[in-house]
Amino acid sequence: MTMIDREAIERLGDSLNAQEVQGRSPWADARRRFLRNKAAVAGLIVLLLVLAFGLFGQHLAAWNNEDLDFNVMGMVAEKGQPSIESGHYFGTDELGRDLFARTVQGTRVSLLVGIVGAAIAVVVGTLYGAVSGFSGGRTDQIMMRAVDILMSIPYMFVLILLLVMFGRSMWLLFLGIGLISWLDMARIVRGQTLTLKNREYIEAARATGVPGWRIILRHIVPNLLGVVAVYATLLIPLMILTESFMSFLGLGVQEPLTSWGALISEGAKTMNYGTLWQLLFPLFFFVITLFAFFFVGDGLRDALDPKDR
Amino acid sequence: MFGFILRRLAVAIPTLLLLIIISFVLMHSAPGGPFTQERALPPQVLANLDAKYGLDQPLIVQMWTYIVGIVTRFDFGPSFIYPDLSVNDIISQGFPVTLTYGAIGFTLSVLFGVMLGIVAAIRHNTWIDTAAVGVSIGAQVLPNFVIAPILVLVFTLWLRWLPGGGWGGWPYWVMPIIALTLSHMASIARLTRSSMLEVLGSNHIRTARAKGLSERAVIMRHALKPAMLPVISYLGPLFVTMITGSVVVDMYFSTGGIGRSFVDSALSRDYAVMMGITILVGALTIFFNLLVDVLYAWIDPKIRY
Repeated sequence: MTMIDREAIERLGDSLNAQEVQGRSPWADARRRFLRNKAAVAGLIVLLLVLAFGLFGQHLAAWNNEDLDFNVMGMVAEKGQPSIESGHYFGTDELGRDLFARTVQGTRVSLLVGIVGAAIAVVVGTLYGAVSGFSGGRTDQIMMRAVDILMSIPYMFVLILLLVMFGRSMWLLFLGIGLISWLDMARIVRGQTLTLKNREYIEAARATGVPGWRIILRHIVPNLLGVVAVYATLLIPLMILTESFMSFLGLGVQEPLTSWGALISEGAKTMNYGTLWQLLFPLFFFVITLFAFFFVGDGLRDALDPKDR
Repeated sequence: MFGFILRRLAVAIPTLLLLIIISFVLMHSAPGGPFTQERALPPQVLANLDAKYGLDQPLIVQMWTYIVGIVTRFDFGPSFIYPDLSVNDIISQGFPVTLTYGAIGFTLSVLFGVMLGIVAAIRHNTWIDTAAVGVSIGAQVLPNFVIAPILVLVFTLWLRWLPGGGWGGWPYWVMPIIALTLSHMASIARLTRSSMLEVLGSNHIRTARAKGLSERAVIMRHALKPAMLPVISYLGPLFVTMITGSVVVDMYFSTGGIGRSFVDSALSRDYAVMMGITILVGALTIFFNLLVDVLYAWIDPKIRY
């Protein structure tokens, strides 16, 4: 699995904390810097387009994603190629289903996997890290030791095990993918919480008798937002990649549902039969989206952290 | 230092035990067993099979026997699907293959990744930097199950230079290694670049430049070592990713490594083989993380242990 530069994100958090007293809000500053970064803005536009494609693409499709085109069946290489007249803008798959409609469906599922998986990782990781860092002392020690231990479990294997053992359901996949990646998040958030918790406003909250869980939710977590946002943006493409890997193994989302990973791996299998479009169209969407997420994530990080450029 | 290593070992051993227990419980709590088939076996046969493999014992007894077997005899038990083979046989067939291309791929990705990252950082904001970043994001974004068929298309079907699958002399190694290495090389390059940029902007580099050192000396003697720290902490997980990533390579190129055995055993519910491989990889992860921690503490004087 690809990785996220943890140190850079930690640095970002430090500088966000350092910027607290300023005339202009750091968020407005960050927005200005982000908009100046051409690659990041282009990435954002691409993401919006892909999202629109996933949400509204089915209205443009001439075919339903489940219908078989009987004219094409058995002669996919000759008759199934992309064309405007037949209504198969992206061609058909091996069974004669419209690839455009399938790609729309795959886009939805892949984005959903990425966002839900990242959301689980971010929520669990943030709460765990904030509680651990805020509690300090022995609780902190035990909680972080547990993270260390969990880190040495080969997760890809455990995920495969889970999917084989308990059936290939989409929700288990979401949960499994999300639970893989909260550990790094927890570590980052804990580190940031340690620097935040001695601030005056936290002290003030304590002095006025605000309970611990409330300080975490109202005062610590909102101040971690920058770090969390960047991490989440960089996590989504990793989730999509993991799902595509599972789909390659046949453990991802199951028919009639599909995802980019499933479409790409089908396309890769039929590459030698002269039906290259089956690989290229889903791969195109997959690649531009992942590129866009990486650019937006990096741009967001640079925008929020003026030192690191 | 010695105490530090001992303390880390004291954490490593319970971790491994926990891993064994988790995978054991997971596997035994799943519905269906290794002998559950489409056509049900007669109950007597099933009972005999269960008795032969000890599956009729209480779970805790099974787990105890299993752990004792591993600890005392390094014995992971028999395979449930192949009566003639033990888990040790299956691992010792596949692991040397995985280790060979994994180790070569690991070395190459670190070597080229670090070089690419340093060059990009030194030539920051030039076309070399842009190209390096573009190429590395591209390599990270293309999954290796796409790279593998493209390689086969080019090198086997068009150029006819390399065999498309199997395992033998070095021609068989090239494509699995490329498919395995590319994305990891890219992530190391990105990591090295950003960390090198950070170091190059720091005060001690300004001092080194101010006292008139050549750019070469500044980079080799003063920037390289601190810039390598985040890269080193990435190496432990990387090694394991190389082995788990080998699942795709094994399946596509039929190299016969343990990635393939793992997926096969998972699909055929061969509990023993699955657990054996999970535990092996887990043990390797723990060992490499330990090694990286020690290396880290040795290189970075700021770390207290």
